[in-house]
Amino acid sequence: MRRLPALLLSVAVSGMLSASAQTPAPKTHLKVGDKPPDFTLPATTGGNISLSQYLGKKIVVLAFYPAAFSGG
Amino acid sequence: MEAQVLGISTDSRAALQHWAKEVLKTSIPLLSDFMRKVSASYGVLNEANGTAARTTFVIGLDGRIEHIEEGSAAIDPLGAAAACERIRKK
Repeated sequence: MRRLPALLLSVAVSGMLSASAQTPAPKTHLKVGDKPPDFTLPATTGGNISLSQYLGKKIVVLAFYPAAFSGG
Repeated sequence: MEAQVLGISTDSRAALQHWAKEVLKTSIPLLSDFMRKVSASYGVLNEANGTAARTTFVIGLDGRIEHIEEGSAAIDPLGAAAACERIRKK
């Protein structure tokens, strides 16, 4: 039964996603070779994370996704 | 060299923390773009519903974007993984 709230939320999110499917997803204006905009955001690991703290030290994979409980 | 993976969505940090811990059981940092500013600055904000379009950016050691995956292609991590491998070989 612990999974039920997650299931309900996932159904709600699927509804939102199918609604969004009616409008084309935005395409980024950024291109290969561009400098990525810096940011500082609250992270699940605690505190804030800035892109700049990794630039030049590590390869960074930035994965934007529509909502928690969605695949991929 | 390991790549640093950062997930970004417009969910609140509390929702993401629950998801990361209880569902994904991941230690990958998930970032909360609750104000939608970062998604907008990357051009991936879906104004209709306030969420980020599924898009993956791979940033090389020179601090520039090396690879972009958009839409359904961004679900499959192989494109991003191949880009990381190219950067490592540079």
